[in-house]
Amino acid sequence: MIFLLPFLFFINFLFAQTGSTGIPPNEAKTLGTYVPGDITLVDSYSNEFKLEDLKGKPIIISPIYTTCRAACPLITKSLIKVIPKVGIPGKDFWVLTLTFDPKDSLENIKKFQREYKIDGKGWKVVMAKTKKDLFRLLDAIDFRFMTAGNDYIHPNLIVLLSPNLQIKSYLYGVNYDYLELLNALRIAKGEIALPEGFRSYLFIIGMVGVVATTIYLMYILNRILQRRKKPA
Amino acid sequence: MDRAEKTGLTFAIILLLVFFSLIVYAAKGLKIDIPTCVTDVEPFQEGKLIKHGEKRYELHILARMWFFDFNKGATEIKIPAGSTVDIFVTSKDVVHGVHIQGTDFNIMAIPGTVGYMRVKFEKPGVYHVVCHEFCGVGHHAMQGKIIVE
Repeated sequence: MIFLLPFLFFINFLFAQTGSTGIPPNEAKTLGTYVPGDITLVDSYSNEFKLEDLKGKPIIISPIYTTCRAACPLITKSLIKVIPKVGIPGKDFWVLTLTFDPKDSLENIKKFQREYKIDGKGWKVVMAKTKKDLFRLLDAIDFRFMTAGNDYIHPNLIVLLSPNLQIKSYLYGVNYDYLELLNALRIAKGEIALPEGFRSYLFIIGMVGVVATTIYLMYILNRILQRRKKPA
Repeated sequence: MDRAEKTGLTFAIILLLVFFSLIVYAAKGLKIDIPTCVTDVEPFQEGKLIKHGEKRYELHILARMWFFDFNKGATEIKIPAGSTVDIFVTSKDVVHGVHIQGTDFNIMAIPGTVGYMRVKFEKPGVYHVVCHEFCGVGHHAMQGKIIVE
């Protein structure tokens, strides 16, 4: 019993922990909610547009900062590899590589776009026009970061929005699997769905399951031990 | 087992389950912001108040014997009302506690790890910060102020 309980809890937390590094977003808070459409973004060709202008196609948002030397290049390189396999950006979906660094300038994102040979049309490298808009967008997807000198500690993820800007799913890590992304895109398009209200209670259901199993096991063990004692 | 004992035990387990599910409901259903521990980070060595935008701040609190370093040694900082502040806490020496009165911010400052919680300061006023973990002879005097204007 003493060993079983911590083990069950360990299993539980293993599955409960979905985030990667930094502060993971609280999915229960964001999934199913809408990103405000009036957020103004600026792309690397200095074109201003609103998020609602992109309505009609799913959106993949990849938050990065341009001076990153660790995770963001890996995220971008992984997306460059996997995106052509799932479709054409601009035709099937939009990809927004968004800089979350409040200090990033237009020059930075232009340089980033050239460096990674991103077309900048279907797959845009963007920054928010104002800091207010930046934090409205980051709060909507619950993306949090911590400043560490000139760098930032941040979770490695991409966010998928439905064609009408509803937050549908998160993918974590710096390497994105082709099948996982394909599946996430299908969820974003609404082809497959988990009821949004139900999702935040999955954890409770899991927990009730673990507790019920524990109590049942305690009961069974108790009975076995009692039976052994009686003949003696 | 005595019958009364059995009833008591069953009742206790049921109560525990109820409380536990209430906690989970509060965290998941009511969408309360839960404090987080950032473990995979080199903790900062200096307190800092970073302004990211209008009413948007990041505050690195370095707790040490026996004061809070809010901003390069300052134990008092000023921020405008309505600010959203991402607060990170760590300790330079021993375990300290950080409680910002009037908010639900209550985090232990543990050397080697960084605690985190987001606070929105809506009401103007003076928010006293106290150490609630006994940390040595200067513990009772370990305090700071966040002035919200």
